[in-house]
Amino acid sequence: MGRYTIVDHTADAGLEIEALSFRDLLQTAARGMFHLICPQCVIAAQEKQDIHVCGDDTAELLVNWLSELNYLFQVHQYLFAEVVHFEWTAGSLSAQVAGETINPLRHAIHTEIKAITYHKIMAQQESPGKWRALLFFDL
Amino acid sequence: MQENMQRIHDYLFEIPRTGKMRVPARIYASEKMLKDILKDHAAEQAAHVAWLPGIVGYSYAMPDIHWGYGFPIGGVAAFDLDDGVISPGGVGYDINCGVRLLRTDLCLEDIKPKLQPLVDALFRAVPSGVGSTGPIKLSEKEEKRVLRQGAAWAVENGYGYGEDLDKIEENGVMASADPEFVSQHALERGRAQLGTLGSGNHFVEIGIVKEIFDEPAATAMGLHKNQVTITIHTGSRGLGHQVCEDTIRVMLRASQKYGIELPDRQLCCAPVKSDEGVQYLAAMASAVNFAFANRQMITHWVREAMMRALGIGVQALNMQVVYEVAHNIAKIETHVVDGVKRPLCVHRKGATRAFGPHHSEIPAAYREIGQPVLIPGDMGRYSYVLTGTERAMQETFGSACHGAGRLMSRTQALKTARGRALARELADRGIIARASSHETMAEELPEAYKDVAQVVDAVAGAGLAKKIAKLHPAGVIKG
Repeated sequence: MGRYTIVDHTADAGLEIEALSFRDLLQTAARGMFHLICPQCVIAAQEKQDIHVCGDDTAELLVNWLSELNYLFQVHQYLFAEVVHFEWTAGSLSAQVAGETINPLRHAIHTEIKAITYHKIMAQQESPGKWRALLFFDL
Repeated sequence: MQENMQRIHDYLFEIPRTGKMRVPARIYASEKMLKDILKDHAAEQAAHVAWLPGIVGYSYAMPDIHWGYGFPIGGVAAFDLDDGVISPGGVGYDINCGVRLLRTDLCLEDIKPKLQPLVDALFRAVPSGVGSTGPIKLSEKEEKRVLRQGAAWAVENGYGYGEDLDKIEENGVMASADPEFVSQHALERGRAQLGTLGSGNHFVEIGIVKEIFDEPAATAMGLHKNQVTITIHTGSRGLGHQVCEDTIRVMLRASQKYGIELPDRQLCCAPVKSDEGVQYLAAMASAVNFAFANRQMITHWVREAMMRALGIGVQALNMQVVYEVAHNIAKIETHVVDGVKRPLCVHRKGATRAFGPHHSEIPAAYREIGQPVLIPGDMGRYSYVLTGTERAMQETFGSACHGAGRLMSRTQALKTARGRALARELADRGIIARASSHETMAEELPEAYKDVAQVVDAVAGAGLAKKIAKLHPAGVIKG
């Protein structure tokens, strides 16, 4: 199970992530992003969404993955909870995720994320079973 | 970086050309400000911009420079149209984030007794906060008309007056917009957000003209002491954010395709005249127009809310646009370089156009005084109205600063604000503030920002702009 740490930035915020696999890295990064959006939220894994993104390397896949989840949040008020199914091939990934639509009674939205940036971006496997990533959000 | 820095004059420092820099970088700041600037990586980012092909003159940074993504915030860079590039990182995610200043026929005494209900009325009238959506739900066809027509779309649909358009940069529309280059994701993100403030540092502020530095210029703008003004600061919302994000994906490949070496992926770019460059300019201009329409609609709701709250009519309010500037934008402009007029692609990211007197793109009313430059500060101190100068035309492609710039991270600001009744503190200073959440108020704490007076003194000291008026906040709504 991966873990994330929020990194301070003068105008914005970032995430430092440690994970066991690339799937775990993406799930942990998404959980970190939704923690920034909704710090106190308990998000139920009750609605499924399919996601397909492309990218030349793991950093680009990470950015595009989070961008797609941010789009689902911004347009469909969808909050991510977990990865249900995951397929990763060179240059693309397909996933099914579970989460729920915002319920104003339970979900107090704290901030919105303008975009996921490439500033100091890093997403790589350091050793078997050890992945690390660093990324920053424009808030 | 600090060791290399060379002092050109009291308000200008140069990072000499080294390594892969094609030109030197220049930072406008006082010596005192420079020490703070060098604490983060913003100066290094200004030097990185100088790597990009076709850059003309210098990679500039204004005194409000701070760490951005790719380009620093406060960065200005111009590129040759044949050899140069266009970079979405040189515009930023909030395309055409900008500032509109409105003047009224009211003075402080007219609003003082009703300040709280007035702020409440503005808070109700202007949708604000995280994910704010407006009362307008556009069809895709209508949204594309907004992207083509900008502020004129809003006027055509009953939001404001035709004369409002005369006092907006570009008259509120960039003709190069082509919504066909805007993605479905971007259209969807923008569809319900037209006429909304958004969150973060965006605001509507009731100001009072406290000081006039240049009486003839202030008179030309219709500004006088003790007058009530309104400042609107917002941008292109989710639509612009998505246009930038979409383009970065394209530009990462384009940089490889055209063999452009990048010190930072966020500086990805393409030749201005390449397909990728042309398509970005068309999509960016569409987002620019969305932001122009956004501020025009908010202006309309501010007018209505003020008349309702104060029980006055259109004539008594007489709210007119002083000017509106964009501070995140790239434009094709003609500038004189080494005595020769050249069309250039000028990027201003957290920097304001500051054209000097007699420029043909300035409204006729301001042609003698230079283009108004609007510099908001934090919600507890003051904002400034400046004008552009001939020196800015000669040195910085007609550009100046854009605001105060953050000093504290959001986390630091939240810690600093813990246990404090910020709304009460501001009220004790005569400022009524409302935000959509306590966290927003805390994150936007006045001391989280640099003192904008220092920024303005540096651009005025460098001769890039002239001080015209100083405004103090009386009421503010935050996103």
